[in-house]
Amino acid sequence: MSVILEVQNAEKYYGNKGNISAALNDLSFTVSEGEFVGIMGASGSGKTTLLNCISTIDTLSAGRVLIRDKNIADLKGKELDRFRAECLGFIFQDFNLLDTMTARENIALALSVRGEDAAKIDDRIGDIAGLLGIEDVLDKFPYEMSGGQKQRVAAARAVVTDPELVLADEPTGALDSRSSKALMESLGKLNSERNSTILMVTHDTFSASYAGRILFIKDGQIFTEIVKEEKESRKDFFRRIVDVTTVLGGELDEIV
Amino acid sequence: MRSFDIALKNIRKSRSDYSIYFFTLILGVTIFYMFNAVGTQGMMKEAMCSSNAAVQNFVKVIGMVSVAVAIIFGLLIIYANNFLIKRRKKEFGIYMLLGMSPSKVSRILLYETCIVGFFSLVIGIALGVVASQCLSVIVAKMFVMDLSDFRFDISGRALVMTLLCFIGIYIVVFLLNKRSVRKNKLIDLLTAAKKSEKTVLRNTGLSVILFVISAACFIYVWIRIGFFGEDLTRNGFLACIVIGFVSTFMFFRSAGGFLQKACSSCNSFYRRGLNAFVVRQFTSGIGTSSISMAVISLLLFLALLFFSTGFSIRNYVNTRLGNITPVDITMDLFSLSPEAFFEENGIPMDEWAADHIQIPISKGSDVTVSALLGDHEAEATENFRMADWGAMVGVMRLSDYNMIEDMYGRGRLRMEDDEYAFILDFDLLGEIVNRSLEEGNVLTVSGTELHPAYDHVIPECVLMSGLEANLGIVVLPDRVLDSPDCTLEVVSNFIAANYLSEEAGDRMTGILDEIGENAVFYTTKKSIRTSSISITVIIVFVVLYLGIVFVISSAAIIGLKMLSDSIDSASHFTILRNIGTSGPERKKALFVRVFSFFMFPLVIAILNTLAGVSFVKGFMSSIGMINMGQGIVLSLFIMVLIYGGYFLTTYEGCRKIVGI
Repeated sequence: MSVILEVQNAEKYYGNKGNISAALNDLSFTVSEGEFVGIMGASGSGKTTLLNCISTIDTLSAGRVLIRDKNIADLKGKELDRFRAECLGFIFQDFNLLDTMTARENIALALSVRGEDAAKIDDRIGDIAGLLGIEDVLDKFPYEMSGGQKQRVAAARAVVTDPELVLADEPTGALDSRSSKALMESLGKLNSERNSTILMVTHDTFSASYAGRILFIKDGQIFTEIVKEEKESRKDFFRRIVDVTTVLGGELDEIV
Repeated sequence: MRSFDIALKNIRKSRSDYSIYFFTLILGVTIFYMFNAVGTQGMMKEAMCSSNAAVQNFVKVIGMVSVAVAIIFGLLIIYANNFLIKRRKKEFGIYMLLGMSPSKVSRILLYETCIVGFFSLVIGIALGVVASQCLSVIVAKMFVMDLSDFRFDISGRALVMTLLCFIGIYIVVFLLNKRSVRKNKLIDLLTAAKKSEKTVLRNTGLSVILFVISAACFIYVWIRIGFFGEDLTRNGFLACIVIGFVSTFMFFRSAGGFLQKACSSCNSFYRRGLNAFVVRQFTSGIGTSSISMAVISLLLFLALLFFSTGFSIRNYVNTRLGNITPVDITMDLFSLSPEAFFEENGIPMDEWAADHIQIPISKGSDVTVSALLGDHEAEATENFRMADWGAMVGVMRLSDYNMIEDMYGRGRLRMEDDEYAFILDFDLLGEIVNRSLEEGNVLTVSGTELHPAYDHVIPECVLMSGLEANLGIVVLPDRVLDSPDCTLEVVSNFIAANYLSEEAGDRMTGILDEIGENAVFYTTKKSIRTSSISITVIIVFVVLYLGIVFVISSAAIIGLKMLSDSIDSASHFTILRNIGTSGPERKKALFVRVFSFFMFPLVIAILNTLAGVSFVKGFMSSIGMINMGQGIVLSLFIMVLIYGGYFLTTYEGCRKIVGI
């Protein structure tokens, strides 16, 4: 399996002279094609900073992020925009749908921005909507949908372009438990049926249990990593995640 | 931190929010000062030919219009301020959450108002002083005057008026702000930002129908007024205005839905790049503010109509003055021997007249208005209740009258020995007399029957007059007046002359004034010019004043709407960036949105104006005014200047808000 994402010795500092705090501290990992990776950690552990740096929204202070062997720090201007449009898909905690447009138009925009042929757009939207179960809401505006539906529309927009890497930032953060379940099942489907590579940041154990591998981050470093076994059920994987988070929390207690 | 420092910081921080507000305040002060100052300036006195009464009239009329303008500006400033306060409610909430007392928050607001007010007044008045001087020069150029005694001055009266008016407005603004801080609950202040306008979902099917109806109404009104405007009755005209008014509102109500429908059904356009996003933003924006857009469009329409007709009146006066003042002076001298009269009064003709003609005017009971009206007297009485139709009309011999024609540079009259002609430049009476002449009304003078030489009155003046409402002259064949049986008697002498020099002329008219109206009635080129110009100066200025204020109001309202929309849609542009839209593309999307919001009501207003102007043109050419071209060009120039300024300021502000 080819490597899609490679983070090498990433460091990120905030603040100015004399008052520096490190959000990422010499952090490295790789993500291969077709993987569903979860990143977990407490607030302030640096997971959102990491995602921002991978998604080109923020830049690293030191180290490199390679996507398909290309250093994203080298991308400038138009190249960067093209890279965002073609290689990355985003899913945010607060959906970030354009509220003046219908679901269909929101999804179509991601395609038309890439200069997709107008005639093919509807077919592709139909495919992805079928997979995510949002055919009924395609012609509704965001304010006419439930949170779960909005997030699945956002997911559809993120993957309709078949990006190399889908970045999800707390996708279930604003959803109730039932919607969370539906969304995570959808993301799981995208991963298994469309072979989408997904990198998801979350602090919700339940959501994380849908991933295939989980990185735990603490103080800007990778604390530990667990991988779902071949035959392991999601329930068992969930228990293992809970165990690790307890250890993470336990360590914190020891310090106090 | 002191309240004053906080106030100063706040203003500096939210410069892009304040830009439109500040721009409007400065423009308001400038315009207000400029128009109030220009009346008291030396140039204006010159324009009114040193006539004090005319200048006072001007100042009075502009003062009255200024009251209306002050109210408009007051409302506009309060509107703009509300926008700013809405933006900042959360900030006030945080101040209070941190334990600042409402009175301290009010103090911050007071300082802010003072700072903004002070700078806007200083800059505005400085610009106003310069602008009013420029305006004076333009007036001088407009009415072809000498610029030699031009001097720089500042009008104390205008200064006081401007200060009073705007300080008053600022005080009201402050009191309103203070109230909005005190009256609102903390929770409302803190969550105000989240309550954005709800997207109004328009029924697109209904919109399409409404759009088609309103477009059809527009076209009907345009054709009706534009091409057949002259034969509209008053009710028909009123109906057109009402239809136009209603369809404007209907148009803006439905345009959003219609455009959305039209664009989204064209897949190859809609599904390219950011087109879908831009269209949605535009149509939803129009949808939520259709009423204000319609009002703005009507205001712009009025402004454009004002400009183009106002300037055309100016053109008309300048060209018409040449036509109606062919000589320096004309007089009706109630003396049978003019030479002796002038000698007696110490102003012999050869001392002031370069060339002159002198024609006896006869009157008699045979030639009265009544006789000329024939069977149409009753009709005339209906129109002119106060008139005395028994009044005798002056009579001239044909050969004498043709001397006037020669001197005025007009074509000679031709008529047979048994004919007569009626010279009358009073259109309203002329229309009725025309009917009588068409029927061949017979005039019997001293037993001789005479027939009309023409089937209409000759619309020429004998005595020059700015009003074109002389009682007229009847021209008879020489033989009728020369015959010994003639019952008409010479009552006065008509004299037309050109001066040797302006000074000689002024001295002569000075003496005539002393003698009084019982002996002589005269009109001069100079006096006609004076009265015509002072009336048109007033019209042009009022029209310009109101027009500019309307343009400012419309542009400011659009600008503020765009700014507040940008705040709501700042997150949209972040999303666009994340899905890979390039910077230039996003910039273009924002530009197109701001541009189309500014252009949409303007385009409708321009279309309306074209129809309106072609009607006004028909109306004006019927009373002798033509040449609207220059007026339209000038008005477009003013529009572009103010409107364009607002557009650029708004675009810059929006760009900063959405962060591209």
